Amino acid sequence: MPPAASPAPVRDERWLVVVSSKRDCRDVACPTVVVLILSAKVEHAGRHDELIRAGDGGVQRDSIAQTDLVLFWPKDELLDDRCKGDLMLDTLIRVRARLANTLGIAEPKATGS
Amino acid sequence: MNRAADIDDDAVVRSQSPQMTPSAPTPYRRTLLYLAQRLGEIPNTRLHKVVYLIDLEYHRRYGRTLTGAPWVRHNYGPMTKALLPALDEMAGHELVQRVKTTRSDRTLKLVAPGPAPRYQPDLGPAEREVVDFILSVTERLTDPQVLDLAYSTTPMRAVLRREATLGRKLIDAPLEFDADPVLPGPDEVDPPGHAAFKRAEAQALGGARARLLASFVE
Repeated sequence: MPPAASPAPVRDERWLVVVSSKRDCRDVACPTVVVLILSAKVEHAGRHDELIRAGDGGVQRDSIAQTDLVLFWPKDELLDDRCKGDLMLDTLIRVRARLANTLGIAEPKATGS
Repeated sequence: MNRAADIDDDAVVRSQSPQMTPSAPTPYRRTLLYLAQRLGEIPNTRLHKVVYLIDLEYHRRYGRTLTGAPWVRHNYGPMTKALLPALDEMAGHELVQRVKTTRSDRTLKLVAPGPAPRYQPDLGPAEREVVDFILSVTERLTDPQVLDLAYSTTPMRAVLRREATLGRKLIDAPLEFDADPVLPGPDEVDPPGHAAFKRAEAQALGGARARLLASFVE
C-alpha cells in the first residue's frame, strides 16, 4: 500500500521581488514597497507569471514572479540580510511589463524607470 | 556562410569601432581581458553569453552597450561576430586559446589570460560595476544555466516569438536591445492545474496578509 500523501510543509519564508520605483524604495517617507511573490513551481507558469532564471537576483532555482499575487510590505522587514540580490534590469523591466499587462495597462515601455 | 560573407561581417564590425586597429584596446577587448583576468580559463561559449549579459545590462542602465559589438541570434543563443577577430588579435598577448576534448568526446574551446598583455582592462567605475554585477549573477551557474539566462532576456525572447510565428529559426537576426518585453498574446491560456496552484498560493499567503493588515491597523 503506498504511503499516504503527507501535507505540504509549512514554510515561514518566501522569496519576494520588490517592484516599486527606485524613488519609493529610497524615500524614507514611504514606509512600504510593492512586492510580488516568487514560486519555484515554474511548471505552473501562466499568463501572469514572469520567469526569473537561477542566479538572477540571487534566486537559487528557476522561479516565477507572480504578478497576480501582489502585496505591500513594510520596508523595515526587508532590510539587512534579507536582501538576496538585485535583478538584472532587463528582468525587472520584464516583470514590471508583465505586472502592467496583468493590470490591463497596454504600455510596457513605460515600466522601466 | 562563405568567406566573402565573413569578410563583409568583419568589415561591419570594424566600421562600428573606428579605433579597432590590430592591437587597439577597444572596449570589447578590454572587457574580454577583464573577464579572463577575473575568471581564469573560461569556455568560449560561456564567455560569449556573459559578455552579452553585460552588454544588455549596460544598455538598460546607460542606453548603449559597453562593447559596441553588434549581437545576433545564432544556433546557441546570442552571438557577436566581433569575438573571433578579437580573440585572434589578442592571442598570445592578452589571451590564449586552447581546445579541450571532453569525456563525451565534444570539443571545448577555452580562453585564458595571456602571457604578455600589451594593455590592461582599465574599465571605468560604471563599466566595472556592471561587469562585476553580471559576474556575481553568473558565478555559481553552470554553462547551461548561463545559456538559459541569456535565452530568457528580452532581445532573445523577441526573436524567439518571431520564430514561433514564422515557424523557422532566424539565424543571424539582429538582437534588438530596445525590444519591448514579450507579453502573453490574446489567445494564450494558462496550463492545466494553474487555477489550483494559484488558489494554494493565495491560501498560503493569507496568514502573512492578515498579519500585515493587522500591524497597520494597530
